[in-house]
Amino acid sequence: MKKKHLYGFLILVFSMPLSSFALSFNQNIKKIDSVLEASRFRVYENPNEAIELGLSVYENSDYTIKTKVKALMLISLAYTSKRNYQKALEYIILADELSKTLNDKVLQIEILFRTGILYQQLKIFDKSIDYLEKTEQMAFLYPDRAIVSKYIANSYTVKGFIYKDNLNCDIALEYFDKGIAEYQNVKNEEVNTNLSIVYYNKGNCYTLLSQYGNAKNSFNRSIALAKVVHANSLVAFAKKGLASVFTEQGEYQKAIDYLEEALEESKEVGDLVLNSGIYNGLLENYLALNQWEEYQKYYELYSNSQLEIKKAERNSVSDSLDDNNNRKNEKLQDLQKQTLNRLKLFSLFVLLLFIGVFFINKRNGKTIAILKNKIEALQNKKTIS
Amino acid sequence: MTHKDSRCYKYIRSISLWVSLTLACFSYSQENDLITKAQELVYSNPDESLKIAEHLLNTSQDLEQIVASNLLIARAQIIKGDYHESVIHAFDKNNLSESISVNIQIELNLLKAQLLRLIYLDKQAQYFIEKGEKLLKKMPQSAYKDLTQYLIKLEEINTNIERRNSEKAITLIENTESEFRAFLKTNSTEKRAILLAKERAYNNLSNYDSAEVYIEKTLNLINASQINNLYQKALIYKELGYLQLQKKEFSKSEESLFIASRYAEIIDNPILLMEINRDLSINYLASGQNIKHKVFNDKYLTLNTEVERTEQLAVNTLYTMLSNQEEDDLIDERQTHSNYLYLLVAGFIGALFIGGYVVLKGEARKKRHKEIINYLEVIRNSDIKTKPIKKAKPKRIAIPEETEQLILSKLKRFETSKKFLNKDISLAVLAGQFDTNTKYLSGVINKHYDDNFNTFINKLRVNYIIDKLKNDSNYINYKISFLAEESGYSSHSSFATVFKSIIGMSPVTFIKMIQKERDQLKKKTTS
Repeated sequence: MKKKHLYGFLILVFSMPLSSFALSFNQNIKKIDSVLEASRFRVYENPNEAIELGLSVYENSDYTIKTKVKALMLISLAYTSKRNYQKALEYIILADELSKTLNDKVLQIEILFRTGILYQQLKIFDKSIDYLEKTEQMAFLYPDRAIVSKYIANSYTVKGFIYKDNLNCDIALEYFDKGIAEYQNVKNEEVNTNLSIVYYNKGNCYTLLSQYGNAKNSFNRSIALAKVVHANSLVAFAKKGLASVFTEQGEYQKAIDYLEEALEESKEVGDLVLNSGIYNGLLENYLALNQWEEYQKYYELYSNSQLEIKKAERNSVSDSLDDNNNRKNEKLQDLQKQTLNRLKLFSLFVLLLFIGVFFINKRNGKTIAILKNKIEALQNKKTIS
Repeated sequence: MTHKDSRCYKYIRSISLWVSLTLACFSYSQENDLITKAQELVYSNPDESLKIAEHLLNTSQDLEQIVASNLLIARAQIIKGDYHESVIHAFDKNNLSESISVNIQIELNLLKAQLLRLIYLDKQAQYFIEKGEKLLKKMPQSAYKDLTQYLIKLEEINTNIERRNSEKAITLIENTESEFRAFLKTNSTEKRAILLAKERAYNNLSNYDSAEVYIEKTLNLINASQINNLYQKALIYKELGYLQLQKKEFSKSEESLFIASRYAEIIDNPILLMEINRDLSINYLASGQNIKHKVFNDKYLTLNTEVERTEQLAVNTLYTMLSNQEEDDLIDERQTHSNYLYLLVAGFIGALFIGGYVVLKGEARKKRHKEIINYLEVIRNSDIKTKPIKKAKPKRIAIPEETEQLILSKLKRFETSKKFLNKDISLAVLAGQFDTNTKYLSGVINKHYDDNFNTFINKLRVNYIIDKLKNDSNYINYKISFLAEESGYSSHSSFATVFKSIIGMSPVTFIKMIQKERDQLKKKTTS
């Protein structure tokens, strides 16, 4: 009954719409800003390029502080996608310091929120909560609540995740409720996605707390909201959650029915975590019903999907490490090539030098020989005279 | 007395040297003893082993000891399931030194591979396996080499089992068993490991009857073993419990899993505990004990959160450490290459100096020879008439023939007199003396000597001095300033300049040459 939830991917998604939200608010987009903007969407494909671009903008004194702050945020995002959270944090903190000279509250709120998320990724939860609280405080002071509501709601939600992660479901539920209330201020269709996710997590918490009625309500809300935005994966997640409640209540067949539905919904999605969760539910319920063949079938599927998840999770790290290694080797080769070229150039110079010297010396030798002859002649002249 | 003292010192010195050497040896062997002891404890009491290794790490100055301690800590942490701590010690910077003994290097590489396999970084794990194999190839054949080769195979087998390539794992196991037949006969611990691997592979393939055969064999071996390997015991009982669960022997399974749980608790390994609790919860679910199921499922969930967090932390730390190491490597390499550049620059400057020296030396020789020729010419010819070509001067004022002859004869007389040595001589003065004007005088000098007045006077003066130098042996010993004074120059430098411009060498060089020639002459005459 491995409860791996979707906030992992949610967090990555968070940074994107949020920052574009902030950007569209600031209309004075200059050319470099649009370059940075474009680069932000490609960060996940080519983080190294984004880092180089960001650094070049940051180090160039021609750009305004605001552009530089955005460049730093881009670098941080790129490192996040490389899973180097330590570096990502370094740059977001730099951005935080630099942004203090600006009077752009929304930008500062976004930076604080992203710092909080990075600490969450690094599992430094107290720091994460610190930054999320700063985000909220600053957002509360902002005159136009409609603009910052999304940050506040997201901040509550992430805090809920943190508490849920640490199995403090009572506190987590409070934050989920606060988040839900705050999302009401956001006039945006997409907010339903976030709400569905929050309700799903609420449902899980209620299940853990054995409050099955509340759990069912939450999962049903989550399903309804997910259907509004046609998010099949979210529907499947919620149905899986609903099934887990029935399992807990001993209604194994009902749970299996929901899980079969969820499996059907998730077919088009191809979400490993979701599939694994469904298989897990099925194997447990079939086991409870003593249907061993079905149990073993789903146990096999579950084990394989668990392995697939790990592989997928590690792939980016592994590739990134590989990439680092290749880059290092490339740089080493460049260095060797450079030194070899220098050696060649040096040898050529020295050769030319010695050839030059040789010829000068030869000519000098000739002149000296002539002069010697002349001296002898002069001396002979004297002896004759 | 002093002699006795120094002998006394010698004694004291040699004695103290011996004492310190024995002490060092003693403490070294003591540290080695500690490491051996800690190694023995790794599987039965990893906490104690950790304490010893950490103590050694903090106190030891010897790199070999430090790395051995790191290796030990990393191993103990794997037993305890804390991959994060294990990563920190396995990938420590000190471990990269190439001065450590090959054995430890190989063991480190193997451990790194194992650790990377456990956190699902297979590509990187393969890299360290290959590194270890490369090092092992260089070693001479020995029992140690056999063991290590076997461990590498085992690592490969375990990777395949954990990645659920069970068929491949079984083929590998069979190959390894036949390849290491003799080795396995004498090494029961290693034999047990491969039997357990076989059991797990069959288990993955749902071939529970075969699996049972091998788990029985493993159990017999572990119970006969001298070493109390709690980690292995926990693993084996966990496997046994799982097998019994598949055979619906619920109470037997529960019992085995509880034994496994006991061992896992002693070594405090949350990963093993998590897996055991998971199996227990399944056991209770299958046997209809719903309350117990919920209790153990909750235990499993709690442990799962902890395990996942540690694993993620391990991956993050590993990533940072490896990236930093690569950056450090790059910085070091840059330093080396910029040192090469300095060397090249230095070499280039050196080559320039050598070339320059050779050329300048040639030039100097040429110059000397020219001076000698000049000197010889000056000495042989009583007159310096180094201007044979008379150029037709475009501007020439008409001078009456008579006046010209008169001035010319006066000039001849002036040449033979010593009036040109007068400091105050000038064109105007001479013209006055010759009862003519400066134009005529200058014109005549130009026409007949092809010189201006100053050069004319200078040549007369230099000629005079050379004459003196040649004929009066005293003049050679006079100072230049005296010669300058004598020839009508107010300063030693203006004399030198004029002399050099006319003769082509400085008066000092000229005097030296005369001296040299005279010395040679003297030698000739004496010999």
